[in-house]
Amino acid sequence: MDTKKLNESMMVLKEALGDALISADIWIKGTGTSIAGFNGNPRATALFDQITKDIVKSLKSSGFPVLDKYYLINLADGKLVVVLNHGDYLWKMLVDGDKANLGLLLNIAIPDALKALDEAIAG
Amino acid sequence: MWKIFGKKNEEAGNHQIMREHNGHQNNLTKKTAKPLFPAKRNGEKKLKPEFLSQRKNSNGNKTYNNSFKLSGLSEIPEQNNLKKNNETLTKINRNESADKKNLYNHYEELEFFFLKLINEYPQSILLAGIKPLNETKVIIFEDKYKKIDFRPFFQHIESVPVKLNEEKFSKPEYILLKLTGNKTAYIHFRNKHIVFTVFDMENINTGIIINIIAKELNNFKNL
Repeated sequence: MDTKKLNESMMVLKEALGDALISADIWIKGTGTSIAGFNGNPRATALFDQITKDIVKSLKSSGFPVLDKYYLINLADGKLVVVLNHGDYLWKMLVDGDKANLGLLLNIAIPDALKALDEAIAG
Repeated sequence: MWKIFGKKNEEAGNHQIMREHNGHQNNLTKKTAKPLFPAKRNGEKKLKPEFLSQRKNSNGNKTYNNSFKLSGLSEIPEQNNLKKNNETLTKINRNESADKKNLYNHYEELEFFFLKLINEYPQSILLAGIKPLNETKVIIFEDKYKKIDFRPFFQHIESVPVKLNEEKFSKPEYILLKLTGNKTAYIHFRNKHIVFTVFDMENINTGIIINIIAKELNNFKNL
């Protein structure tokens, strides 16, 4: 893991989303502790680590297909929580949905950020 | 377990309502002699699932709400014969409150929405239904999975708004999960229910789910 590149991957996301990105954290599954962040929120990181774990477990116990690339929660105040499921890593971002549309988020910002994360993981 | 679900009639291009019990299927539309979705003509006001309002019980009274009593409600014990099951349902129906009957009308409207959706995307809707919050019963409109027990998952999903609230996040409107095999689970939160759908994404995209279906579901304000 190249920590410098890890922080760069966060900046790739920030550059793509601009003011729409409210906060973001990357962590290793099961730890709930951020290893890179932007306006990091430790409590939210721990929360979404647990929520993701429960979703994965309940999908499996129900016989559904398993969680793939991400899940997205649209909140009543117009904000979006996106949790990327990327190998051993989870990447949670809180986005202002009024400032960035989903097309930009799902088709540009996230693919570019994940590409940068892969480079960081590869070292 | 009883289920009501829409089934594509390939020849007619319309949906028929099929009743399934213990693996046997009866085509209810034969009794109505009318297709559920007649071809829409210019000037026609509203499509209506005919059979839902035409079913009568042994006393000759309309029991259209019974369709949802038959829709996989887990608290109704599975019966070994139809007569016994009908008696149980009639008894329950007599005791229903006006509020509950009103609620079933909203379920009926939602079922109609899903039937239209299935008609438009016949291969894309793998599972569709509604679950009252904090109850174990599940009402199914479409189920291509059939043998899986998806209730643990949706029961868990119900706890997500509570957890979010504890950390000062606002209430979720919907959760969209990308699943393996190009499937997407979509859970829409209403005041007292969650509406859930699992899509095969081969012929439908995320934009349609988020920009069109989500907004349509927001119109169901009484659920």
